[in-house]
Amino acid sequence: MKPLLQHIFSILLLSLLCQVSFAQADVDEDAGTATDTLVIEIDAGPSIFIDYGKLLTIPTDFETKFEAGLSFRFKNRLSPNIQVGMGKLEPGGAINNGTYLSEGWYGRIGINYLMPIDNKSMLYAGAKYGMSMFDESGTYEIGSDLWDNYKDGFSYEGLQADWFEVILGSETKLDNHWSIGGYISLRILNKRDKPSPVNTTLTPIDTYAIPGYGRAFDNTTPAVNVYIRFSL
Amino acid sequence: MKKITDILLALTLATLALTAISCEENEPEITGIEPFFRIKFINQDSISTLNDSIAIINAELEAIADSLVVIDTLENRDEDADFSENKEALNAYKKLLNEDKTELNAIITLINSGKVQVTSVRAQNGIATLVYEDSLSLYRLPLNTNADFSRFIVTIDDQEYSLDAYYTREIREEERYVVIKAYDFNIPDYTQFDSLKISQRDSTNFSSNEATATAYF
Repeated sequence: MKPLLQHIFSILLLSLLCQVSFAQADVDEDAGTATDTLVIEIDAGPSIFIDYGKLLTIPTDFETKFEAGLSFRFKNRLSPNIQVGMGKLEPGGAINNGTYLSEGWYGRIGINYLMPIDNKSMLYAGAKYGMSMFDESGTYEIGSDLWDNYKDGFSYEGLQADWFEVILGSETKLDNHWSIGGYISLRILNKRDKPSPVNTTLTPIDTYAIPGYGRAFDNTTPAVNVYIRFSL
Repeated sequence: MKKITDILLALTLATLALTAISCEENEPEITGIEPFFRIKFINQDSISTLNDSIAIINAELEAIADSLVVIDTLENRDEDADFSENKEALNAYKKLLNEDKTELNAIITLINSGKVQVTSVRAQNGIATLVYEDSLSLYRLPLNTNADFSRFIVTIDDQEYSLDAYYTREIREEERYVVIKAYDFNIPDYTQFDSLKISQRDSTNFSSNEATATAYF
């Protein structure tokens, strides 16, 4: 499972790098044709974006994610943004002798600093604060050659976690309204709830996955997001 | 156009990769994680019988030694007396007895190692019977995870014995497995066995997985 996830990570990273290279190619083309100094302008205004990488998870049976956001760009190159998403995570390795589900909503708020390469493409860096509210549940089974198998489950509700992110991204315009982009981020976990038993007497099973953040037992985790943006 | 084509290609590859993952079978691994204890069976009755036989052999050897002393005394008193045939016969018998004694001691050593052919172990109110084809020195018996008590019916050489194990269950997560641990493990009742003792490495929680019982029959 892990090598395949790394494979996906590599593909998405490749997509991001492709966009950067496209942007660089466009700059080269412009340099070849332009005779005067290029005047770079920021298109100020609101825009909405949707993470199409998350949509790719819908046909899978181990996770379903959706994420969209709203941002505003100022002429001074600052771009505050807000994102909302949902995640339904069912990683196979969470409980080797059972099933696991972590489901919830999350939000991120942050600000980016835009670094245009030309009037079509840009790089940007930024920081975000994220927060997730989620429920966890699972089942497990213990087999025996002599006795009946033991089957039970657990459910933890109303869990919360928050984290910080630093990001580095790129974006390129497809036309006057549509843009495509992506960013890599490093998520730094700030705080998370420890589960307490609700419907069973077992020792609480520690959180495995946090929607919007990733694996709970990693205090830092890298991530890649790819999106398509519509500017108003 | 090239840009969009390449992006679509990346998306297609990503979709294929995700589809490959979703097609992977991920069957839960539910065996080998139940609480258990180990037990060794010692045929103490046979050891006692063998020890009685060795005691008889030792008595015979002492008698032979005494006889040889007497023969030596008689030979010293009468130089013409010839007891060589008697001495040879006694020494030959002594040799045979020593061979038997060595063999019996080897059998005792083997029994003390616990290597016993257990015919079967049945769980009372369980779902199956474990049948053994080879003799083992140590048997691993799984505990009932649905109760704090397990009764085992052990059959050795057509004789049935029973063991009653008591414990306290605790459910916990270990290396992404939800497991049940059996603590305060004890076997207070053992019908038909002569005696039973438990050696326990975990002297704090008395975990069953760390316990080795020795049952004498």
